Amino acid sequence: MNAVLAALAALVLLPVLFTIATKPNLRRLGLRNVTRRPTEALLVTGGAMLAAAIITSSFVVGDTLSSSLRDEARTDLGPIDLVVAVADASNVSHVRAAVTTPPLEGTDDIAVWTWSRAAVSSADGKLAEPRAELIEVDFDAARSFGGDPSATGFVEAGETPEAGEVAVSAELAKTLAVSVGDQIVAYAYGAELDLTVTALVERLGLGGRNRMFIAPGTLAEMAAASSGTELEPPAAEILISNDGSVFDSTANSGAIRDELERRVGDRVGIEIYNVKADTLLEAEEDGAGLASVFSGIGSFSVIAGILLLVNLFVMLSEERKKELGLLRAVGVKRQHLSLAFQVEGACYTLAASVLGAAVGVGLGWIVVRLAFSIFLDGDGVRFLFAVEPRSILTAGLIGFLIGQVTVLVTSTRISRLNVIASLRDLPDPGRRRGRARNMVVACLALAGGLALGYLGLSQEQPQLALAGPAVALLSLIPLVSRLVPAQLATVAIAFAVLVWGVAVFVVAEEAMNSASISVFVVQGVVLVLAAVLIASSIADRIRVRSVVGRLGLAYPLARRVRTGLLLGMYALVVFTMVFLSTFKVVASNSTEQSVKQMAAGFDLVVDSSRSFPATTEQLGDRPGVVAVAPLIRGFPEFLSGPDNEPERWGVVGFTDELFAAGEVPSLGSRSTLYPDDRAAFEAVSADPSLIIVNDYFLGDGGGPGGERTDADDVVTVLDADGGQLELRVAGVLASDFIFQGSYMSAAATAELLADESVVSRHLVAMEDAVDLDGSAAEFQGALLANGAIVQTMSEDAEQETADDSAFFNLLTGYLAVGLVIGIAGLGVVMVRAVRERRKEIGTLRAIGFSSSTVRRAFIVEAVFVALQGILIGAGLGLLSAWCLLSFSKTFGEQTLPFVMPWLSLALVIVAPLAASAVAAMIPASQAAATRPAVALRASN
Amino acid sequence: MQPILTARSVRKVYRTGLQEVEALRCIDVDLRPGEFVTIMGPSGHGKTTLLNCLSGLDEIDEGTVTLDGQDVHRQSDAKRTAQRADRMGFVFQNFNLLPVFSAVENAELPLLAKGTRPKEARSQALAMLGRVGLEHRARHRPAEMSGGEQQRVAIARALVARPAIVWADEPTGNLDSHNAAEILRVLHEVNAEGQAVVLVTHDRAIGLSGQRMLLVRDGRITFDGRPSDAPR
Repeated sequence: MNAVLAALAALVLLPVLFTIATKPNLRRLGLRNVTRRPTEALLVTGGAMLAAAIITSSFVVGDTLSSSLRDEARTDLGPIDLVVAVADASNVSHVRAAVTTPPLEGTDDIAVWTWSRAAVSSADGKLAEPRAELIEVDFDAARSFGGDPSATGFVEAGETPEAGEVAVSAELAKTLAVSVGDQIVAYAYGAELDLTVTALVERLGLGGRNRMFIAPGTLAEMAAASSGTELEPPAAEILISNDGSVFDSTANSGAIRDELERRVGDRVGIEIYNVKADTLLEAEEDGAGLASVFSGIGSFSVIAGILLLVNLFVMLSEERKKELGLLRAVGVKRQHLSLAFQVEGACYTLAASVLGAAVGVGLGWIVVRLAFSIFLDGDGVRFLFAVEPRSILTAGLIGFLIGQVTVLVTSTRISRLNVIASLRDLPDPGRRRGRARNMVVACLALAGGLALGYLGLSQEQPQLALAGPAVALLSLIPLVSRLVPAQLATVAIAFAVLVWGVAVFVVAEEAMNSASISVFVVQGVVLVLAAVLIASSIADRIRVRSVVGRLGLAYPLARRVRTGLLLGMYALVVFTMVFLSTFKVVASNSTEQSVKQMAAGFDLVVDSSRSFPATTEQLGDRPGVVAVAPLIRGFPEFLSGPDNEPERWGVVGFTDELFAAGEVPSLGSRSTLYPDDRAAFEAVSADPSLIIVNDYFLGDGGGPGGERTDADDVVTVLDADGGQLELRVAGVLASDFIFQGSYMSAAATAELLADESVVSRHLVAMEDAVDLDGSAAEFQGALLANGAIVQTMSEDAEQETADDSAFFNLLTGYLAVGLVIGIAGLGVVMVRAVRERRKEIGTLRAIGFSSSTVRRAFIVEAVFVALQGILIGAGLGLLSAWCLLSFSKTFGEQTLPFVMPWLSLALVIVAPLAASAVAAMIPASQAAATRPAVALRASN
Repeated sequence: MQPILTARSVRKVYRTGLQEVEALRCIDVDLRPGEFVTIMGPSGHGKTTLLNCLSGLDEIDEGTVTLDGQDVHRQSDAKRTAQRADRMGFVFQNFNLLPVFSAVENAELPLLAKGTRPKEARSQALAMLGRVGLEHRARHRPAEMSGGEQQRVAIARALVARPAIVWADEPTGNLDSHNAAEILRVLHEVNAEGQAVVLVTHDRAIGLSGQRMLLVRDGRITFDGRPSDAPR
C-alpha cells in the first residue's frame, strides 16, 4: 500500500519539483508567497495538517490495541501454540499417545496438565474468586516446556507442590491478598481444600491469571469422593509448542492442527484449539477493526479539513486576484500560474503531513488510552503503546496526497481566471464554452450515477446504492435549470437527494443490510451536500432589519460557495455527533425495557461451576426467593453462514419452571403458528425440534443462507456424535443481555449435549422488597463452593450500556477534533475576510458606522455561518437517526424508540456556537480597530 | 458667515520604519457653509491627505481641526464617527461601493448608520437614486453597473443623509468625460442647495468650476482663492 501511495505522492510532486528545478520565476513566486506572511502560512499549514493527524491517530489506535492484545500471546500462552482439550482426564494417556506417535512435525515440545474449575477464598473467607482453576502439572516439565524457561512463567515457581501445597498465579494472589506461607481454601467437587501457598507464578506463559497449581492426583481424589456422578470430571489439556519462539511459531499451526484433527479429531470429548494463531489473528483483527472505526468516524473530520483547505486556497486566490490577473496579462501561462500555486501548496502540505503525523501520534495516544479503559480495563490486558513506522508513513502520505490533490484541483481552477475581470476587480463573467462543457459533464455524471446506483442496488453494495442515485439526481441540476428557474431546480433536486439519503435504508433495505461505517460517511456527505445546496439556494430569502444583522449576513449570503464550504465543515461533523448522541441516549433508555423483556419476571442469574454446580433446591431454600428456573447450559456447534461453518453458540434447556415467575422472555418476532410469546415457549418446551434464538443468533450473516435468522427458519445443530439436527425457529428474542443464546426444551438440550449436559445456570425470582444487589452478593458468598457468579438481570445490560455510552462519548470526543477544525477554519476565514474587505471596512467607517457596529457585524457573520451549519448538521443527524430507528431493520428484532438527546443536542449546538463567536472575536476586533483612512489608502 | 470647519497649523507625518515624510505642514483653512472648494496639486503632494485629515478620517500630528466648534481630533472615535454620519458625506475615486449590496442598499447605509428606521431609509435612498437618475437600477449590484452608474450611486450615498459637507476625492478620476460632467452637475446642484462640497481633482477644468480653489504643493497650501486667480 505504501508503495502505491508513495508512487502517487511522487506523481503529484513531480511537476512541483520540475518547476522548482527549471522555472526560477515560478519557484520564486511560489516560495516567496509562503514566506511573505508567515502567520497565514502557519494557519494554512495548521488547516492542512489535520487530515494527517486524524489518519495517524486512527492508525495509532489500531497499532496499540493490536500490540496490547498480541502481548496476550506472551502473557497467557508463551510457548503454547495448540491445545488438545480432553474432556475426561482419565483418557489423556491414550490421546497423548495418538498425538505424539509418530512425532508431530513442526513441534518442539508437548506437555500435559489436568485441571478443573474451582472457587477459592482467603483463609478468613473475606476475599474470594469464584472463577479459578485447579491445575496439576509437573513443574520441571512446565519450566522446560518449549525450550525457553523464561517464557513459561515457572522460572521462580520452585518444585511441584505436594499434598496441601499450592503455587498460585500472581494475579490470583493479589485478588486474595495472600503471599507465600499464607493459607487459602479451594472449592471443587463439593469439597473444601485447605492449601498453603508455596510459590507465586508470574503471569507469563503457563502461569495464567487465576490458576492454582496443586499436587498431581488431588483432583482425581476429589472427584472420586464427590457424590455427583453426572458432573464434569477433571479434564486434561495436551499443550503443544511449535518450533520457533513465542511470536514466530504459528506459521505451521494450520498444518499441525489438520494433522491433530486427523489423529484424534474424531474422538468423543476431544477439542483442538489453535490458540496462539487465533490470539494473534484476533489481535490483528481487533486492532484493525477499532482503527477502521476511528478512521471512518475521523473521515468526517478529514473531509472538514479538505473543505477548509479548499476555502483557504479560494480566499488566497481572491486576495491575489489582481496579482494573478497581472501575471496572466504579462504573459504567464495558466499552467504556470497553477504550478506556482502548486509549489506554494506543496510547502504547506509537506510541512502539514509531517506535523500532522506527529500531532496524530499524540492524539492517538489520548484516544487509545481512553478506548483501552473502556474496553479492556479489568480484562488483564497490558496497555502497550505502539506506533508502527509504516503507519506513520501511510498516514503522512495519505495526508500529503489529500492536501496536494486539493491544491492541484484548486490551483487549476484558480488559473482559469478572466484577466480583465481580475485586473478590474469584477466578477468572472463565465464562459460559453464552460457552460457547454458543464452540460456534457452533467450528462456523463447522470449516466455514471445511474450505473453506480443500479450496481449498488443489484449487487447490494450500500455505498453505491446510496451515492449513485444521489449523483444522478444532482447532475440533473444544470439540465433542469435550462427548463425551470435555477433556484427552483436546485432546491427541488437537492430536496429529492435529501429524501433519498434518509429513506434509502427503508426503500432499499436489502442493499443497505450490510451497512458499515463507510456507508454512514457516504450518507453524511450526501445529506450535508443536499442540505447545504438548499440552504445556499434559499439564503437570499433571509431578511433582517437590524443594520448589524444586514452587514453581518451580506457576505455569507453573497459568497455562497465559500459559505457552503464552511457550512459543510460544520454540518458534517455536527451531523455525526448528533447521530451518535441520539443512539447513545436511545441505547441508554432502552436498557430498562430490554432487561424487562428478557427477564421473564426473574431477578437474578446464577452461573455456577459445571464440576459442582449449585442445585435448584439450594437456591430455592434461600430467604426471599420466590421461584427458581434451572437451565441446562451448553455451547453446541451450529452450522453458520452461507458456507455452513460450524460455530459454537449458547443453548439453554428449560423446563416449565421458566414460567414460574409469571412471564416468559419477550419475543421480537415469532412464527405465525403461535398466538403469543408464551404459546411459542410452550411449544418449544413440548417439541424437541423447535428452538427460540436470540436477536443476534450466530452474529451478522450467520443465519441460513448468510442472512439474519428469522422465525420459521430452519437451523442446523451438531449433536455430541457429530450428527446433524434440524431445528425450526419458533421465535426470535427481543433482547438477550445475559447471553442465553437460544432456548430449547430441557430434554432436547440434554440429548443434544449428552455428557456435557449440566444444569449450571439458574434464574431466580425474588420477593419485591428485596435489595437485589445485596442478595446477589450474599448468594455469591454462600455459593462459593459451587463457584457461583450471581448477577442481577440488569447488571450486564447496565455494564454494556455504560461501555457503549463511554464509547459513544469517545467517538464524539474524537469528532470534536473535526469541530475544532471547523471553528479554527471559521476563525482563519474571518481573519482573511478582514484583510480582504479592508476597503469595505474603511468605507463603512468613513460613512459613519461605529467600530462596535463593524465588530458586531463580523461576529454576527461568524455566528450566522456556524449556526446555519450546526442546525443543518443537527437536523440531519436527528432525521437520519429517527428514520433508521423508526423504519429500518438494521437493529434486528430490537425495537428502539427514538429519543430526543436534549442535553447532548444543547451541548453540540451551544458549545461550538460560543466557540465560533470567540474565534471570530480577534478578527472582528481587528476589523473594528481599522482606521478608515489607513484602510482606504491601503486598498487604493 | 461663520465657518463650519476650521483647520489651524495642521501637520501630518507618515512614518514607515525609520523614514518620516511630512505630508502636511502649517495648514490653515476655513470652510464655510455652501462653499464649493476644489483642491488641486500634483500627485503625491498631500491633496487626499488634506481631505482625510480635515474630515477626521485620518489622525493629525499637530494643530486643530474644528467642526461646529468642536475639535475633531480631540473627540473619541465614537463621537467622531457619529459626527461623520451626521455632518459629512464621502465620494471616492474608486466608488467604494459594497459589492454584496444593491444600489439602494448601498445608498441607504449612511441613514442606517445614523439610526434612521429601515423603511424610511429605504424610501429616502430610493428618492436620492431617482435624483441621480438611477431609480431603475436600485436593485442592481455594483458589478452589474457601469463606472458612471457606480459613481452616481456613491454620490447618492454621500448625499442621502443631507450632510453639511461633501468630501469628494477625485470622483471623476475613473470616468469618461460624459459621466464626469454628469457627476459634476449633481455636485453643483447639491452645492446650490447649501451643502458645502470639497472636491479633490487633477482636472483643471473641474478645479475652475468651484467657487474657491486650494493649491497644495509639498504638503502646504500655496494658493487659496478664486479659481480664476489661481496660477497655472
